[in-house]
Amino acid sequence: MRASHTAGTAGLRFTDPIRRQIGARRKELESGFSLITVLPWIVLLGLVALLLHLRLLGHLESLPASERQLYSLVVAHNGIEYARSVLPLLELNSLLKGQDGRHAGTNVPEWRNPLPWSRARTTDPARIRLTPDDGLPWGPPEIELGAHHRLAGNGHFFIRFSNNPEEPPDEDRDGIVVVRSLGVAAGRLPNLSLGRVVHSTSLVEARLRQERVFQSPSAVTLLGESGRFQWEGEDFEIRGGVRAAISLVAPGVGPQLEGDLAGSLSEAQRSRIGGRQIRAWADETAVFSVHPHWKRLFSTRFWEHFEQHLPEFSEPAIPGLRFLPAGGELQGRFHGVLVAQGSLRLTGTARVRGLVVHLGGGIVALEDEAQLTGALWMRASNGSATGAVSGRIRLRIAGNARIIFDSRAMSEALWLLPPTQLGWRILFPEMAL
Amino acid sequence: MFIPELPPCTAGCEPSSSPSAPGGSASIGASLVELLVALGLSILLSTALLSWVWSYQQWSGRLSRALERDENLRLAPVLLAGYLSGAGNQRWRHGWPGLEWTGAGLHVQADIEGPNGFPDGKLEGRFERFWLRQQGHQFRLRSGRGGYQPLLTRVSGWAIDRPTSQLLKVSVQGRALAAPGQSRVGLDESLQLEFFLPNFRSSLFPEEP
Amino acid sequence: MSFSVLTRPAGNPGTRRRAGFSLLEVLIAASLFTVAAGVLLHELAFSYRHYSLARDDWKAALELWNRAGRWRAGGTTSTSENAQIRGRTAPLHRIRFETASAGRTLTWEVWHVHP
Repeated sequence: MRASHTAGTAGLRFTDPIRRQIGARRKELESGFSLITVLPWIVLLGLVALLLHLRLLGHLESLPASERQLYSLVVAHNGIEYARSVLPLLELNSLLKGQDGRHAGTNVPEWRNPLPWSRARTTDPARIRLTPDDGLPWGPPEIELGAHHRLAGNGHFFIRFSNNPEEPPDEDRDGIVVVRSLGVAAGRLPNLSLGRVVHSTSLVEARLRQERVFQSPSAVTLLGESGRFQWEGEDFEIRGGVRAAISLVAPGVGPQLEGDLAGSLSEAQRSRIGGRQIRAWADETAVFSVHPHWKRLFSTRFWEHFEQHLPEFSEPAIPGLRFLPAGGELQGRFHGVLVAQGSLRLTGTARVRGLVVHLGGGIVALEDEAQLTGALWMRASNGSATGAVSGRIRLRIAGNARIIFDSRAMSEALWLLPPTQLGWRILFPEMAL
Repeated sequence: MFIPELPPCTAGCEPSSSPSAPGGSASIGASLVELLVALGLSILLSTALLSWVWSYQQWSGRLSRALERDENLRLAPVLLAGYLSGAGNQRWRHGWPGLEWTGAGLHVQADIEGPNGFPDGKLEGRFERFWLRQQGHQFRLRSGRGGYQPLLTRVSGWAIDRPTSQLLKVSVQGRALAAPGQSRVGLDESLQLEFFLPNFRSSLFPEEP
Repeated sequence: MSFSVLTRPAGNPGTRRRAGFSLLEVLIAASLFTVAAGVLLHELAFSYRHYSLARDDWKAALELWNRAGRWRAGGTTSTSENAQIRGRTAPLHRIRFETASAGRTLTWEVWHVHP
């Protein structure tokens, strides 16, 4: 055998009897030649390592981006929750027009968004300042109202309200608004391809309805077919209202409710109801049946839903929303919305500031020195499926009990009613904004 | 093997002779001890090298497959959050439930867009009505009337749980391909994702106007 | 057939290299390879460690995501702060979820109006 074989491992070489002809040139070729045997391995393994390294780097960049993207969605959702919380406080028409009292129109791109998406991605969110205008909430510092909030974990959200597309952009009637929340999770590292920090953003939209259905026009609003009223003494008082101290709403049943009320009062007692230029009572059925908020009171579904979900929303806090499913007696103080089914008695020196809503199934009695400042709603319900408002109302007023219409106290109570969410969606850049 | 013809040996060229060559010296070539040492060293070095290369190749292959699996799984939370969070949008206007689990897959409905950029009461837009299911090792999505498209690969299983109307739990099992004879330890990855469903939250008042 | 593996000097010093690779050459090559392999391994281990940390962060983020979802769906907890706006509105609850991953604390803040 006269061939030379390289075994393929470092520095190992087998040769047959060395050829005599092999001389100095061959010697030169062989000098340091053993490195070649390891070079391919080094190159090969180096390439594998490099590829893995690059993949790891790509992953290293994308994993924190995933965390930031998820957090931006959480932060955007926080903005919607914040909007839910503050919406009851807001006067929608002034909010939609902004501080200058004039809506800028719908020709501005992304006019419903709190700020342009591209700006949110590339600008340090801590440096963004929004001028309170169309739909950007503002308020005195004591109520912490603002369109931009900073959160832990370097998160920011920006919110803007706009009117629902079924109405003009600057005039709300139905209480429904669209709120968009842009969540920004500030990036940590510069993007390798862009060479600058790009922030993760999510845009979420919710359609919310401010609930004003229990915004009463009178000290007492009665919804029913008929009534049984007990007035004891002439020291009680029912005062105030927009047009009358007692609003009567009796859909489709004729004047029986009004007749029952008129027939139950003496002349002296009647003088205890009303006020300066305020009538004692008025039939408001026609007004209610076309009003954007009040017309819902004629829906059986409305009352069923309300009764069904009340326990979830009832809370012990004051001020708050309290539900008494079996009625009860109140002697102390309460501030907020008190909803009761069955018999409810306010006795002694009971002081209620806000709204009392009675769902029927018993009597409402105000006795002694009990006082309600705000408004009382009473709905007759005989449990039949014939209508939302059916049956007889039972009301007893005795002693020095007083029901005083107070729009401020009523508004404060209405602020406690959570807005109804009519929709929630994530907006993507490719969608029409 | 082709050996080039070399020029004749001239100066400095000593004859190489085998140990058995007549007149040869013991110092020419390699002694048995030298040979054994050389062989031993060679075997030692070769074995060390090959075993290192082998283990390196195994490790890098395993890492590569795990990376491939993770590159898929990494997308799952963001993708599923985008698809599922808006489920049931505007469902109160329609008869559909918004989210249905049939065992074979998840059926999601959400009226999220329309010609004016707002929900239009129809489920005809992209991702307004879609199905998610597992087919083989792929997690697939079918939107509207289209066919199933792969959403994630390297998925060995998934499960759905809905403990309350507002919470959807999705478990996804990711699986990296194993090399022949390779242990599966560390190659399977399970993700548990929980999604709050805002469109299924309670409201005190009915949504209907 | 003869082997001239790792031959030692055979008379003329000029023939030392000609007859295959010396032990020194092999050792140098092996050392080079070892150093190169070591560097590769070190680099790869370094990136892998970073990848593992990022992966831990990612898993921590998923944990936070799940906790946020559960909290939104499940109601208030004793650790949440009531951020009711001056006692005027339905309670807006705020909570911070933290999770430690690889010596770093990841913090998310979640706001929610319950229910």
